[in-house]
Amino acid sequence: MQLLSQTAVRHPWRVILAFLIISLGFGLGLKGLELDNSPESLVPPDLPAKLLLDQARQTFGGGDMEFAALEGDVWTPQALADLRKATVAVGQIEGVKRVTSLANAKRMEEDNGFLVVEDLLPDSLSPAEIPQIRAYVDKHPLYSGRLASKDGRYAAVIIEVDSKSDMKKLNHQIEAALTASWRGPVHLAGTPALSGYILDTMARDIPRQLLLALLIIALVFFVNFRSQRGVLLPLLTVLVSLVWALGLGGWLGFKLGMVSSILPVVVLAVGSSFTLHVLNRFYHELAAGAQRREAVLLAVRETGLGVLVSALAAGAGLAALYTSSVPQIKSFGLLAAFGVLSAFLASSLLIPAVLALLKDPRLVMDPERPDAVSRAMRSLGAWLPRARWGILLAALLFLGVMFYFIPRIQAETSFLSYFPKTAPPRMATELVDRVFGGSDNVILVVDGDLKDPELLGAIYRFEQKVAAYPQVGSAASIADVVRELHKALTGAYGLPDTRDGVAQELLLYQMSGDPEELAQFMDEGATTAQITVQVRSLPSREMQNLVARIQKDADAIIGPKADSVRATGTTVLMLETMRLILHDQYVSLALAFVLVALFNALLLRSWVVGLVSIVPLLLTVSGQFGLMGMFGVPLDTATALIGAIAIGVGDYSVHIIVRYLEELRKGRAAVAAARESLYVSGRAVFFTALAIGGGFMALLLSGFAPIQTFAKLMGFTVGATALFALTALPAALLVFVRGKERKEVVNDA
Amino acid sequence: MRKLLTVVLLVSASLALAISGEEVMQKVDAHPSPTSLQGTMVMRLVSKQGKELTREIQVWSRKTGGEEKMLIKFVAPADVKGTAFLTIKKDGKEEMKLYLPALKRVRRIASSQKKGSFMGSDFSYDDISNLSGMKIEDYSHKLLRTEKKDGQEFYVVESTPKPGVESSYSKQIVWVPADTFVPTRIEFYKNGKLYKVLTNAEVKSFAEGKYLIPTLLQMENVQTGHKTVLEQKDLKIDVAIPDSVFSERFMKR
Repeated sequence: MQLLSQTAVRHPWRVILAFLIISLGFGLGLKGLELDNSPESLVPPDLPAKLLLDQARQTFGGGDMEFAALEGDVWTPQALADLRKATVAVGQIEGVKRVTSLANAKRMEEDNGFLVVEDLLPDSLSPAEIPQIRAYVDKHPLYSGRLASKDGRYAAVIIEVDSKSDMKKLNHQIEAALTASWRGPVHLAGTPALSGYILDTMARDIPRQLLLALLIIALVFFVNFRSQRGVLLPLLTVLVSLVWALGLGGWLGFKLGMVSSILPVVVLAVGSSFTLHVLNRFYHELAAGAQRREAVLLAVRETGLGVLVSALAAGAGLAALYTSSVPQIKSFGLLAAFGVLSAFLASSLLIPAVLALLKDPRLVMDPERPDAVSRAMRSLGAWLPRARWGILLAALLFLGVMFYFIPRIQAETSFLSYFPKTAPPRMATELVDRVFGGSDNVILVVDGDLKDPELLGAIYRFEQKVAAYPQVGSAASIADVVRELHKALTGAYGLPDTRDGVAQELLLYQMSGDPEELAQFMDEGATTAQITVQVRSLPSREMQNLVARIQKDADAIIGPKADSVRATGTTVLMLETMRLILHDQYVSLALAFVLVALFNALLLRSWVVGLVSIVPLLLTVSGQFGLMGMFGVPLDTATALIGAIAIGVGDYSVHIIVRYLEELRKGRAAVAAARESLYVSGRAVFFTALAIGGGFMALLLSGFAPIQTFAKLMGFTVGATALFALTALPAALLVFVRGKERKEVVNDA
Repeated sequence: MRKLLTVVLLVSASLALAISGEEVMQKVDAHPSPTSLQGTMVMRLVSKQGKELTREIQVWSRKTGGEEKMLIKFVAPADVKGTAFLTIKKDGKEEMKLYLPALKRVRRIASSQKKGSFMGSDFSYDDISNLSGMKIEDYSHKLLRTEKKDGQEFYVVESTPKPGVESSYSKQIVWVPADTFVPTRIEFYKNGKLYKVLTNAEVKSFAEGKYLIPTLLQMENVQTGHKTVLEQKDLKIDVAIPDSVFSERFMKR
């Protein structure tokens, strides 16, 4: 620390120049930073269900399903012509892999002794032809209630898009193409529509949140220091660390998702607190009569250890997220940790360099003058030693209650849960669920001899069974196609008796249209097929039960006739991811606790101190999760981060420990040391908590429910960490660290 | 010097483009087509992942006056062996019949699937019937350039359907060798995007050079990565095919 501060004071210009050059280098990376919140950004690339889905997409074409409901009287020549125009227009958009609507549906039936296989909608339509077409659609199992609502008020356009597309752009293009052709309202649902909306919301939210967080933090700093530089210098620190962290993200090709949209605010809140401590001490030394340069050196030396420990702990807590299997959380952890360490460097090198150059502040005020906060700290210090056993007992009780509620936490990964009930894609999804029986799907990949009538029969029986579930709209597969064709050929619904019969009917179907049409159900060699089960959007828990039931039915009915039958699809991927998030949570939290305790123990040269140092964190984190379990707040991709971030932002209690040990070293008794540390560092802890907590409140502006919940939980977290740091921590210090650990801690560091 | 260069350039350009797109396509169309054809077609369907499926069919076709008849019978794979299609075109009307051995019945089919796939391959019915020459009067032909490849000179012609003409494709770009005038490569565009590419790898002459017929063709769907390799074997040209071949009884045999 001494080396850092001396370099800064001796060569201020060189330090500033170095920071400028490095910032420029990272800044260039900012251009490469992209937004992406596709399921791909959340799903680990080596997940078995993901590999299966990739393989299914290769074999059967198609992609993520976007569901457009076009509102208006469907059964008029004009509307059907518009639908055809819309279908063609959407099909031409780059990134759209398949479009299905009445406009490209087929009519396959016996007509006057002829087998008719043709487009459902002829090129020109007269009103007289419509009742016949409608009657055909109404009794067709693959079309009725799927491509047109039964009441004729909505037409569906099912759009499958390449999951690697820029969903934001694609979604706008699809919407524009549909509204240009269709005269009535257009409702867009499904994962791609939600992803597009998420990206729009993020692009709008990130700058707003950042600005508000800056304002709140600036205000807290102004109240604390009452000076311009007291506001501008911390902001300089966070600016540097933001550019470094986001620039690194750009250079590494990371993409920001909904989760990482909180990255700037996390770096801002945590980073600014470091400078707060340095400045606090600087003003204190100036007030005590030190020269400017000397004050800078002292400030960095005295606070340096605390800032270093809390930066390392914060970095470790955040970096522990890198163990997550969810790509978005992984990159968030890495960048946030890097941002925090950049903030540490800036506050212990750049800020001292700038302070060394600036003129003496005109108004030298003592930030530790006994204002209301300091007086409160003094009373606290007087009461605490007497109540130490009571406080520890209360803390233990709190832990017990919270641990009781933690197992009740439920995970949630449904994209729909991100949005308030009035958000357009959420309303569209609910409409599509109601009118068309589902905007989501579960895909079953069946391997086996698909020309075997017994296997086809089993697939059909399975479809009948699951379609009867209230959460399922319909199911479609090659079995339905063969049944339709068989009816057209023989006049009766059913399947051919023999393998050859199936093969020949399939051949007929292949010859009657685009081979692509069959490809969406089955591969050319008839060895693998996909069954698409259309399901409503459901909360994760219900979806998990439904998928388990579907898989069980498939195993029981199709299993004996097939080589294998496996479930996948975007929804299944998100469910698998949810399981991983829950599992990762425990791993990264445990790792973070160990790392923080280890750093604190090493830097403060005592195992007991290391363990005591994590008391406030342990209480806070169990409080967070206990409350989530108690109030039914789901653990989702955003709230899954709070544990790690709490460790990152919450370690300012280390300043109390450092001060306490310093006082012991000076020969004071434990009780007096506790009083002094509360009086001196308590104020800084209070203002840091206020700045960080205030910064996180900016996230309440977010358009996403999980981020809003995250902000509220962070409010609790920051408050609780401060409270525990000012009560349970000194109580634990008084009980467990009574002076034997008196070491030359500060100077050694 | 500059003047001379300009003159040379102009002369060479006018020499190279001495023939118009319309003229090239007329020469392509001028090839006579056989009145009857009998043989075996082997189709290899190759998926994007490289999986292969082979189908073998026997073909009989005959043109007499205003009547065109074609019978197609599957030989392989075994599970579709005996499946037969009969097409009779007369006075602009088309009659199609289908025989599926598993159903043991001949069914009449009303099909207007000109754009539909030929026997489940990457060729459409249109592509197959265009092999013996597209209706050149339905298209406008523009000579884009001449190309030299492996010592052979090619005319590259862009054919776009005339207004009001219904076509599966928005345009076709045809590579026509200057010596044989049998196209060796055709690019099919749909909505302005490259959709399929046809390559004729082998052209054989029949009836002492009277006919030039592509016998090894490949159609690749650029958008799906799927392709079909079509080989015409044991071709018998201009042989007499009796009427009894184009009958329900023969279909069932």
